[in-house]
Amino acid sequence: MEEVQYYKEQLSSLKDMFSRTTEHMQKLQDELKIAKDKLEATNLSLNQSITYAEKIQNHLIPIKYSNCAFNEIHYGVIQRDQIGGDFVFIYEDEKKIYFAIMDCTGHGIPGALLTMMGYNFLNEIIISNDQLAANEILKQLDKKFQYFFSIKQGRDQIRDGMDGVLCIYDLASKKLQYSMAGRPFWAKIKGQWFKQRPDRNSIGGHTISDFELHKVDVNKGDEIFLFSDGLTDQFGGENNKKFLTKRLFAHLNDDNFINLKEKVDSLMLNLEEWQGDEEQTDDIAYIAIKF
Amino acid sequence: MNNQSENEVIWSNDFLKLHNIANKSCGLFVATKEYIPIESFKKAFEKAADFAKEYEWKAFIFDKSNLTVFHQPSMEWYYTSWKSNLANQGITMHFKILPEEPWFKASVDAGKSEIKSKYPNFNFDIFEVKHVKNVEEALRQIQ
Repeated sequence: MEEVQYYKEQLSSLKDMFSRTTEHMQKLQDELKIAKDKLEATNLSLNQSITYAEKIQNHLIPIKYSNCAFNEIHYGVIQRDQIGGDFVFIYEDEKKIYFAIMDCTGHGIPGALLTMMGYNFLNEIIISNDQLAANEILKQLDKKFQYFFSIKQGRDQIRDGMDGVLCIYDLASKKLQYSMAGRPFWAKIKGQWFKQRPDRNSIGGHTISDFELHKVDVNKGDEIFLFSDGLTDQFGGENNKKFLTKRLFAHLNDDNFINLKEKVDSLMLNLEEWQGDEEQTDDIAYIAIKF
Repeated sequence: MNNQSENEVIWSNDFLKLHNIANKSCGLFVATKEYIPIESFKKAFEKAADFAKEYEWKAFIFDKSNLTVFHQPSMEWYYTSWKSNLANQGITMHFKILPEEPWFKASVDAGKSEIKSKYPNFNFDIFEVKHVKNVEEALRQIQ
């Protein structure tokens, strides 16, 4: 083949190559655009759905609660995502005030679904029998979760449930009873903090649990702090470490605050600073009470 | 290529050199120019098919790193005719060394996509095609 002919053919093939490739890339770009549009539409629909779910879940948060039995009560739920697996429960009848923090398995949508279940089970148990002790309520909750998630035909067994602490304050006797499911109970009684470690029992899961009942007399000035592990597990600080109970306790043990509200606000600010630019590690729920 | 001991050039034209790598029962085509006209391309590969029988090759390496121009009709013939014939002889393992130029790689993808839409029943899956950086990498993968 003559050299001129060779280069002519080469040039023609080169043009053809660029034309075909450009056309192919244009096609790919069009396909990508379609896929992107679909993704955006799905994303929008999901976001709208989750935003509405958030509205529903927010109804679990007790409205600004105040009772003359407590000098102060402050609580909060900070879900890691728009919706999540932690909740605060407060219910009172003529004789008692029930309060709890609960941390359901996981976070996000599955966690939120579990909170709806857990909240309603708890509500139902308490309303149906006001004589139940805190540990009996947890036991019934456990049974309800076990039953709901037990092996049913054609469905896999689910071992989800929740951890938490439930307290019942008797308005007449001023006695507090509580029971723990995998979460600790912290209280400052007569000026002394005690941090009761929980047993390993959880609500839901593999086996039926037995929960211990604890009782304590509370008086004016005593404090209680209940919290989910999202608070102490939050990563941050200079070396990206967990907040840990030692920092939480140092804060709660600081008496240089005018009142409990200031202490809790400062704690939350401290936690926010600790988190810095890190993502929130887990859902957070807490209740702080001063008698 | 380091291990030249069992590698001999058995055929060549102005655009391609064909090697027999005896210890790996493998043929190696090296493009020596930036563009191969289709008739020369076809003749060379038809020749290679004869050698494949003679030397009982079980794999084929095509070093295209010197090419700068991708020729779609050649590729179509290479896939749908030559490679299929080779597959009938039992050779389905192909190694390819492409030029670094991203445009060339994009052209290969475009070409393959065009073949797929033009020959919807053509079964690409019968070929074991691997893209490698150099001949050594291909030879390491041939048992």
